Amino acid sequence: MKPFRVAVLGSGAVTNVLYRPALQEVRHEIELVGVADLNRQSAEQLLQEFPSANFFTDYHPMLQELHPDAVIVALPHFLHKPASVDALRMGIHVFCEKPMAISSEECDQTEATARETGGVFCVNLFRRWFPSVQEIKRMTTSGALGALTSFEITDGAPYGWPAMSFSFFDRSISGGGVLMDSGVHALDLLQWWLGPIEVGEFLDDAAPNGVECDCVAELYVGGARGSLRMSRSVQLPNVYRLQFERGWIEWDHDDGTRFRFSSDRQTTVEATVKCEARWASGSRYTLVLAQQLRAFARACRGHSAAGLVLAGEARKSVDIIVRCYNKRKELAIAE
Amino acid sequence: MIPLDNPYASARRDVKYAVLGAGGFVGAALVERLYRAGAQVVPLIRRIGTGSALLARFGLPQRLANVLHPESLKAAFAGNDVVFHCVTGDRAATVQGLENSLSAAQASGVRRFVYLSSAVVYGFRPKSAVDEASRFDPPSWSEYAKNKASAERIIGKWSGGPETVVLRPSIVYGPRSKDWSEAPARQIASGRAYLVDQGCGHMNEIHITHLLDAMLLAAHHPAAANQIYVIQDGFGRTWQDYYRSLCELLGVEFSTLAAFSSQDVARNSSQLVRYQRWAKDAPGVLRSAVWHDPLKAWLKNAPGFESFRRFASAPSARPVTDRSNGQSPAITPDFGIALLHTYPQPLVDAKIRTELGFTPRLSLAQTLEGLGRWYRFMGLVR
Repeated sequence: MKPFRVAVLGSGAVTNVLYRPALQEVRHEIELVGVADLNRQSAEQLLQEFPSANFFTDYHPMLQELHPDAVIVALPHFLHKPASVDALRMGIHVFCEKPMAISSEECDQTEATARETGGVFCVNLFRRWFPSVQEIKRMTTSGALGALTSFEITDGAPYGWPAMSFSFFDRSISGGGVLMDSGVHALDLLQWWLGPIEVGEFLDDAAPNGVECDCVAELYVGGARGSLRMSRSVQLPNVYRLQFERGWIEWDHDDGTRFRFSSDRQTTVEATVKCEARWASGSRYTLVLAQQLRAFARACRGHSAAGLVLAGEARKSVDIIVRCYNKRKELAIAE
Repeated sequence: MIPLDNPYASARRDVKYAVLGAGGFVGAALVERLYRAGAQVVPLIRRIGTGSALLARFGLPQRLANVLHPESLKAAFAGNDVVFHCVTGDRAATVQGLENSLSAAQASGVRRFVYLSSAVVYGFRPKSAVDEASRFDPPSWSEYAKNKASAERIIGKWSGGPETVVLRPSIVYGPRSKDWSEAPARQIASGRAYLVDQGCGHMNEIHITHLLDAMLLAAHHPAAANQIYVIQDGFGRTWQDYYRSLCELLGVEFSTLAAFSSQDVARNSSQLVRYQRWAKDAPGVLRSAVWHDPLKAWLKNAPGFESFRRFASAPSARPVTDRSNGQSPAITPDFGIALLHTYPQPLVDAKIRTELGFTPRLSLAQTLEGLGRWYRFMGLVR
C-alpha cells in the first residue's frame, strides 16, 4: 500500500516531545514528508530522524508543493483554526492538537469546513484512548451505579511543560490559561463520560489581559453539582471522583490502566484493565498517539473513524471553556 | 487587606521597576503587588517555567535575563529606576550574578538596587540576639549561607551607584511559599511532619505581604539608601507555635506530630558528613553528648562504615501514622531543619521599624486565614 503522507505544522515542544516518537513508531505506515515552522532549529531533531522530510518556514507553500494526504496541526492555539481550514480547503485531512480552536465561532468554521470538504478532521484528545478511561466510559454509560449525584475533579501541578516560547502565556495566542490548555482534556472526559455540562460559577486568578494560572469551576451535569479545580502553580490531588447513587468511581489523572470504584459505597475495588503493558508505562503517551495516527490514516482512506474525536465532539470542551470565561470572577489565593 | 499608611511602602506610578528573579516565590509576588498598584514593572526571568505561568496572569511581557550574561542585564535594566534582585541559585549565580547585576544597574543609570539577602549569613547558632551588626558566621557545610555571605561582601563594598539596600529575612512564608508553607502542610497532612526539641527555636518568620512592604520601603524611603535591614513579622512565634497553627488549619491533632530530640537527629543522620556538620554547629552540650569532633566520629566507626549505619538507623522516634493509607511512614529528620527548629536567638528588626516605619499590617489570624484559603484550593483542607 502507498504510504500515508503527512506533514507537521509547527515543530515546538508538543511536536518534539509527543509527535516525534509517535511518528517514529508508525514510520512504516505513515511517512513524514514535511515540517513547517518559523524556527528551523526547533525542527532539527525531527529532520535528522526523518531525513526525507522537507523543511519550510511557511506552511502554505509546503502544502502547495508537497500536497500531503494529511497534516498534523501543532501550532500555537490561535492558529489551529486557520491552519486546519486552509488544509481542509486544499483537500488535505487534519489531525489537530488540542484545543480544536480558541472560540466557539472558530469551532463553527472548522466544523463547517470539514463538513463541506468531506475531509477528516479530528483532535488529539488522547485520554479517551486510555483503557482505564474507556472502561469508566462503559461503566457510566451502563448506569450500573445509578444516577450521578456529584463529581470533583482536580488537575494541576507546577508548570513544567518545556515550552519554547511564551505562546502559552499570551491570551491572544493561547486563548486562555490552564483551563484552555489542560482543562480541555478534563472537560472532554467529563462530558464524554457524563453528558452535557452546564457552568455554574467560574473563578480564576487572571487579570484582564492575562491568562489564568489557577482556576475553580462549579459545573452541573443534569442535577448533579460538581467542581473542577486546575492549577499551573501547585500540585493538586489529581483525582477524578464521580459519585453515583449506589457507588463511586475514582480515576487518578493520566493512569492508563487503573481506577477504583465501589458499587455498594462500602467495598473499594482496585481495578486494572487487562491490556498491553505499555499502557501502564511512561511510553503510553507515544502509544496513544501512534494508535490515533493509525486510526486517523485508516479513516482518511475511507474506513471507520471510530475512536477518533471528530469536530462535533472536540468542540464541546471548547464551548464549555468559553462559557466559563464568560462567567469569570476573581479567585484570590495569594497575599 | 489593610491599607498601609506609610507612603513609602506603596508602589509608585512614576517609578519604573525591574524584578530580577521574577519567576520565584518572592519575585512573582512582588510583580503582582506592583502590577495591581498600576506601576510599570518588567518581570525578568531566567527561563520559561512555573514562574512564567504565575506571571502570565498579568499579561505583562516577560523578559529573559540571566545574571551570568551581563549584556542581557544591561538591556533589561535600561530605563528602569529601581531593580529588585530576588535571584537564587548556585555560587556563580549568587555571587558573580550579583556583581554583574550591580554593574549593569550602574551602567543603566538605575537609581536604587534592592538586594534580597538572608539571615542565613549569621549561621544557625548565633550567641546573642541577631541584628544588622551581628557577626557573619555561615557554616562551612552550607553553600547557600556561604554564597549569600560572599554576595553581601560584594554589595557591602559597592560604590558609585546605584544606591543599594540589603534586606535579611529568614523564613518567608505565606501562600505559594513552597518551602515554609506548602511542604510543612503536606508533611502534616500525610503524617510525616515532625518537630525537633519540640520546635522550641525562634522561627523569625516574615509573611510574604510584609516582606513586599519592606521591599517597597527599601525602594522608596530616602533613609534606606545604602542600608542593611534585618526583618521579621514580630509575632514572636516558635516553630511549635507555627506547626500548631498549621495543624489547626488542616484539622490534624498537634499531638500526633512526630517528635525528635537533637540527639535523635544526630543518631539518625546516616552520613558522616552530617556528623561533621553537627559537630561544628550543635550546641556544646549536644556535641559532647554525641561525639566530640568529626575525627572522633570517624574513628569510632572506622573501618567498617556498616556499624555506623546500623547504629544510625536504630529507631528512636515514636511511630506516626500516615493518614493516607494507615501505615507508619519512616521519618528521617533533616539536619538543617533540626537546626532551624532549635534556632536559639530572635532576629531584632528595630532598625527598619525605626528608620523606615516598617509595621507588619496583617494580624496573625489574617496570615493564617490566607494560608487556609490556599490549602483549601490545594485540597489539603476540605
